Amino acid sequence: MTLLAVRGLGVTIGGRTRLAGLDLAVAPGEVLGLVGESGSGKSLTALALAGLLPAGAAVTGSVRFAGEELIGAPDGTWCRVRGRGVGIVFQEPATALNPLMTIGAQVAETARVHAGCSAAEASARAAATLARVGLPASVAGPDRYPHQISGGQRQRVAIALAVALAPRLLIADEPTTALDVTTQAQILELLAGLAARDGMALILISHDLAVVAGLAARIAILRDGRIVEQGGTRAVLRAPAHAYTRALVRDFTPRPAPARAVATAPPLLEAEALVRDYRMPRTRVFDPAPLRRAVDGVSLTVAPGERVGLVGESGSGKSTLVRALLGLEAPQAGSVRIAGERLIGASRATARRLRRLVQVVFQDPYGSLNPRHAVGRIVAEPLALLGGRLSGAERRRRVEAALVDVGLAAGDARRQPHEFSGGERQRIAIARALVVEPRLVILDEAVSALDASLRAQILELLLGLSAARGLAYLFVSHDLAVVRAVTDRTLVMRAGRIVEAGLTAEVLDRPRHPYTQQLVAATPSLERALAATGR
Amino acid sequence: MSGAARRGVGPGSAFGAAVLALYALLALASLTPLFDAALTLNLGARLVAPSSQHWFGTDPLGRDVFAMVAVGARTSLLVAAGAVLLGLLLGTPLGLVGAARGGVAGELVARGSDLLFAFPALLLAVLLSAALGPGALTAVIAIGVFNVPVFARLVRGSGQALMTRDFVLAARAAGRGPLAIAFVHVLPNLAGLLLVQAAIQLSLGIAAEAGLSYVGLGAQPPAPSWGRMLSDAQTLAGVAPWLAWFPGLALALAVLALGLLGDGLARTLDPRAGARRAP
Amino acid sequence: MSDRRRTRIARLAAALALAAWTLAPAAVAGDGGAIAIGIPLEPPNLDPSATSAEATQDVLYANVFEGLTRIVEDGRVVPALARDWSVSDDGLVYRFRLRPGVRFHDGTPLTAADVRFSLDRARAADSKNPLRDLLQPLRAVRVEDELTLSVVLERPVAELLTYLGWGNLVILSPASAAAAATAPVGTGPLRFREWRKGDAIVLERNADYWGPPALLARVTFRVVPDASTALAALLAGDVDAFSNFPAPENLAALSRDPRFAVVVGSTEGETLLAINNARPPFNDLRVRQALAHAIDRNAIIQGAMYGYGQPIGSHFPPHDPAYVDLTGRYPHDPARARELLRAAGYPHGFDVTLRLPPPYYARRSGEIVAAELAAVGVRVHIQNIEWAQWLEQVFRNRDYELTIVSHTEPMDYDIYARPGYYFGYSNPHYAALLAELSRSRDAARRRQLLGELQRTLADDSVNVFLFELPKLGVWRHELHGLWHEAPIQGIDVTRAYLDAPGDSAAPGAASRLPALLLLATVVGLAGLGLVALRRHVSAWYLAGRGASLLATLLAASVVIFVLVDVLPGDPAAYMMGLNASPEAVAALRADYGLDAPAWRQYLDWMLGLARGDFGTSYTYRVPVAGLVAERLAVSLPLALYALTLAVAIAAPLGLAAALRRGRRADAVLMGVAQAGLAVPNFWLALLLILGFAVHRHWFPAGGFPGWGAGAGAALWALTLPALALAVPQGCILARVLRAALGETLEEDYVRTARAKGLSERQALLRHALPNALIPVLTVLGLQFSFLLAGAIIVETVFALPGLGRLIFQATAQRDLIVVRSVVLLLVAAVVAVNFVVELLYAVVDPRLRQGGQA
Repeated sequence: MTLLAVRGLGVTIGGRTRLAGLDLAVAPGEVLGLVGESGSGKSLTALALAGLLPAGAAVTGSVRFAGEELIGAPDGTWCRVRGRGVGIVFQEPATALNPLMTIGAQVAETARVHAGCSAAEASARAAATLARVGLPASVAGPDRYPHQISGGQRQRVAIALAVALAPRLLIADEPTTALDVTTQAQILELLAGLAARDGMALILISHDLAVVAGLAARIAILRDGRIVEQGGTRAVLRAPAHAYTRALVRDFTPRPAPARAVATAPPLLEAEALVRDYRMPRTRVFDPAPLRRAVDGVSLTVAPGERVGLVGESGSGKSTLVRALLGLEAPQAGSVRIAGERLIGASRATARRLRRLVQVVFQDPYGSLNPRHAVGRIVAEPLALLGGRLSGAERRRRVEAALVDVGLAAGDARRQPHEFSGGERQRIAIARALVVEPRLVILDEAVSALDASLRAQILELLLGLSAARGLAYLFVSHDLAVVRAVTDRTLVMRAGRIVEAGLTAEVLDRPRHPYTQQLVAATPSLERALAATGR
Repeated sequence: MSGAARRGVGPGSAFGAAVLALYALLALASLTPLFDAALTLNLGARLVAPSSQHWFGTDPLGRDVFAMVAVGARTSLLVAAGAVLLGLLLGTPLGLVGAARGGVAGELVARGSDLLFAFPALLLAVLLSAALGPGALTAVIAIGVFNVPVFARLVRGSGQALMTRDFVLAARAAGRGPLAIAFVHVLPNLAGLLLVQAAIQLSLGIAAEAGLSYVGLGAQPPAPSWGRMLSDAQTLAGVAPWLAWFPGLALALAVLALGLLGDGLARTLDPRAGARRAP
Repeated sequence: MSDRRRTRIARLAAALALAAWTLAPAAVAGDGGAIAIGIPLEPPNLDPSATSAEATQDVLYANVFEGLTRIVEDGRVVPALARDWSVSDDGLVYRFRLRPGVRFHDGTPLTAADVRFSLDRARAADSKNPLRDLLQPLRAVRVEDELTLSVVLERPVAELLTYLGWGNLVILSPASAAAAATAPVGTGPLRFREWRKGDAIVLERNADYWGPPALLARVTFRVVPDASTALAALLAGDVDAFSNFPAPENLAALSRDPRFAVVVGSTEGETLLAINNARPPFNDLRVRQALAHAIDRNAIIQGAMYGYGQPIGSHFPPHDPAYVDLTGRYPHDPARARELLRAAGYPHGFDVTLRLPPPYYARRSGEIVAAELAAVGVRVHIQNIEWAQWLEQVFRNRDYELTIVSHTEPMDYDIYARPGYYFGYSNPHYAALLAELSRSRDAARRRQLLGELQRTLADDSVNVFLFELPKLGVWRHELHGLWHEAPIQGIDVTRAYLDAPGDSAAPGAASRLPALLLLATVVGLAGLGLVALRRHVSAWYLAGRGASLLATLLAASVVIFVLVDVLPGDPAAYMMGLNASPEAVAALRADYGLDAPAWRQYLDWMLGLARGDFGTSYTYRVPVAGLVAERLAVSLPLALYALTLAVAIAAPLGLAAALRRGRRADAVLMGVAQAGLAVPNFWLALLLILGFAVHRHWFPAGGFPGWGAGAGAALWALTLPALALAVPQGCILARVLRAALGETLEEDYVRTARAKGLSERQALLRHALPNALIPVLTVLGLQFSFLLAGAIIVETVFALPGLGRLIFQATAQRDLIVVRSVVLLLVAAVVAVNFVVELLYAVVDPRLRQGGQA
């Protein structure tokens, strides 16, 4: 008997069809993975199944839960089902919890709404549920507020809210995407354990094939609001029937870069014992503001043509380090040299000359381009670093050349950023970095926001550029697979310090530092997942 | 902000814009000699009720109320626009400096606007008007002074947020100085917000001008002004209610129109309105 | 003399008969009834011998204070405190016999020494009495016995007996004169009971009066500052009478209303388009004559005064027997005016500024004058100014070209011979005529001289003489005995009575106690709140915030001081009024400490504040702190009331719209809110008065009965003003609430709540609403500050004695110390409210409790 039967589910918002003809079935205790790239309709599916679509969405088809038809049912029916029959966990633990209520009260609310139990019963149940998701009172008591616990703990609370009444189905929409890999591993373990122990069915929605493959027995591939392929996880991923699935699986794990020898040369970028402190808000008025050390004595070098990876989880100080290396923030101690010259404290002219050698590409393709400027103007901005006056024609020529280099058309210079997709925008950002012909480009999570297929294309572009121009990269990322695909050498950063450094293959394959080992172990791998079980 | 331009305007802001255009048209028309005759004293036609001859009736001096409302629109719009302009011209650079520089300059801008905000606006306007002598220019200054911190705060606050955006970091990596970034990158991105705020301040300015005129501190006679017309109408409300109705309606409509316009603009320009939660 | 005595006896007999007749029913009722009389200006102080303010005399003349003689309704001089008198043949010695058995209100008997004290005080070098100059011919006042004194003159002053009947020369006792500014003690039939600053002055019957007692038990003089509110106050029954109604346009309607009697009489007020004769081009007679020809008096009387007022051709009242009709001297003739201007060398006219003081006749006439002068090529720029500025700029500094003002003093033709008077006019011939007039006691010769004076002024076209200001009396039909004519400034209520005595609009005595209780409650609650908050915020945090609060206030104080210090207008000059001598003004300046350097004044102010001393009001002569406490007792409840109403409007509107967001009902509700906030509160106030106080007598149209009248009555009086304030604020709040809910409803945690199975309404109330409270609280705090201070206009419309009006009046009167302190107080209130709101954030939001750990 199926617990949830979805037939011909379609969603139209504002006249645009966002989901069409969705057929899904989940048996009790079964784990179904739903995979798709951004815009494929994954989250919309989750909302449709929970009856939480935004106002103005038109739904067709049928959703039967435990035999009861939910599409077209009154809100009262939905309210009864939600929380009691179906638990839902969303992506962002930072915002999923009400900041004004204690976590205990939020968990208890689920019980109070449905079970109608007393306040004491509800809080007892809340405490028990919190303990069940790994938050016993000794770790984070029910009287804590969401802002007083970590991101991973918040996601546990969010799960506790969903499973407080032991629903028969749990829908988890990208439950780990916002978390670091180590935390992700723990949460995935928790979900798997809950499903197994309580016999709860689970729909796991994710863009991450490895995450899904590790948990789900069956998998459905979603693209543009339609399911292109559905079946046993192993079967679908090992032998994809559909071309799209094939590309997805291929692009998901970037090919490791071949090892290559880098000529020893005087370093292009050299940082020595960098320290960067931030002043925290003071807790008491007359006390000195406490300091937080974001970068703690970091030294590193990048040689000409070398591709160096910098790996670390969020909060490890990567971005601060990048800003210090670019001279955008003055460090409290240490020095940054570019081509042997000091960047910090240099004269304007010198700084300009040095900046020209080192350019940067940021993570968010939407935030890094000024929405008010035309592409040509955006790309041309660093030309000011060349000093002297370039003629208009010369500027145009260089901008167009840079655009062509990154695979765009020369005519794109006249267009506005909003006319481009995310991947194209990232190409524009790269063009901007290249227009002054730097010798080193710092890529700060430059492909993290992109879907696998686009990511593969950009990585290819970057490798090509590097090979053709002898360009050096400092490649900052939290994604080990990507670092492996691009870099020669890798630095591992944790809590402001470099804890391990070495050739990429060595660091990732034979990590020596316990943190690196933990990191590598926690990183989900499609290969490992498919190999591990016989599914 | 990308889709904003294409999303078009709602009925509210369209209505607001239409009303505003109508007022502007009236104000312009009131400059023509056509209105002069209507505005000269005609004691033979005092307190005539609204008719086809005098759409809004006449006042105790025999002047045509419609013509006075039209000229009042001129006074109102000019004073309010002057006050907004004052606020924009002084507040925006102050806010930008505050956003770009941080530190002492930013703190000064912030504290200064805090201080000004602590003054009850209308009271300060009364004091200023008393100090400078009443008149349209005084009204512009008295109202405008309060627009300065409004814009300075808006620009500083939103500017600071923009200053942490990646495209600003990119510009810095490209060697731009903080002030250049403030004007080249930050300001254009604030244009929408400023426009919305300007519409709101304009509506507040019109109301404030009427209030000042009502207590006799706004534009001086013979320049008609809605606030003064209302205060003059108060004693005649029993005899000639149209004197209280039309300027009041004109005033409320102007404030409403600008409010709707600002609202509509804000909705059109809100970057989150569309981008949010698109799965 | 015998002739005069006969009339006196006849009048007395008539009065007694009348009294006996009217007192009968009153005696049965045990009470002569009470009335409220509207006055346009609040007296700056209550000592008529030290100020020329007309309002002071309106309230006190003949009612509380009496002189040796008095002027009666037809202008004659009759004995008052002096039983009779004799004059020496050379006219240099006047011997007065005082009425026996007269007692001041404090019980001390009236003696000749009191009279000497009063006259000597009025003519002393440092006297603040406006008639000081007229008393200069006095050589001595000699006390002959307990009840007899003689006044010895340097030279004959024919008008002496008249002067002694004027309101500024009333008799005070040395024991109480010093405190008369706030606690006047006279000998009249009414005694001073209470002064509610900004609102009303209450007099009550003096049971121990020497003569026929007053017929009314209580008379309240209520300040109705605006012509606009006068009608409403009358119709709503807040006021029973206006001795001079400030809105002539309503008289036609009022005279048709059976509830009211309209009595049009004359005053001594010659209304002039005053010309600065000393300043070109007005030093040219032809230009002045051109102005006279350009102006159509009848148009002005019709247009500005709705036909009330009599045209005049010189500076002389038409009802005086010596009046000469000179209105034909300069007929309305624009062509002739242009011709004269051309002849004077101004073929294209010229530009000129017309400065207008606040009275309605000046402001209204001004517009017509401007239009008429424009017709002959003189381009007039109107400048409306406050009385303080008028006194300083026009009257004292003679810095003006044209102005319009009414000279209400009787027999004031002498001003044209005063050196340095603001007309800038000097004509030896006129001065000689005047001197002879003063000496002459022959009636025929006097009449001849008076005619000559009038003709000279007209020939010289010193000013454009517009009209004699009418006295537009309006009162309830049941009310009788008020004067129809006004030969002198004053509202004599001593013979006024009601057909059916009973309590009318006049409220009972107010005590300050309820107000203080209220204040104490609010302060206490705030303190309790702070104590409760100690749980959430550390003492260090409070101390730090307190320090920054203090710094803000200090900065604000400097700004305020600078701002207030640059206000043009001299408080001393304002206090002293029209006829003050420069020495007297200087004396008062020193009195106020205004002669010290600015830094010293600032320091004194700060040091005073540190001691909790807000200073003493220049005009009211009472501590500012008390003044503010009285006003706060109106403003604070009004603000709280309005805020409560605003929340009551906003909460259902905002919640209902948020629950229906995206649907038509949402748009409709928010459209309503948008429209509601667009309605200016003073317009709404006007409509509310018309609807609920005039057409339906549900609420009073204005005024405030005081908390002593009972909390119910006080709140009732505040309902319409609170509503007028609350509707726009409530609509703003509704929109803020809706917007904040719109944001929080989009938040993930609301979706989480829905995912738990909460209904939309539950999710809204339990999760979205608490999170939406922060912006709402911020706006609420701002609104409270706004309502506390920004209600000026609504307070004006409703004639409420609140803080806003206090500032407004104090600014107009240049009561700088009040302005400074109250503005600082308001700034402090704003800062404090912000602080409280910030603390409330911490209550609402746990993230803010640890000071930025969020």
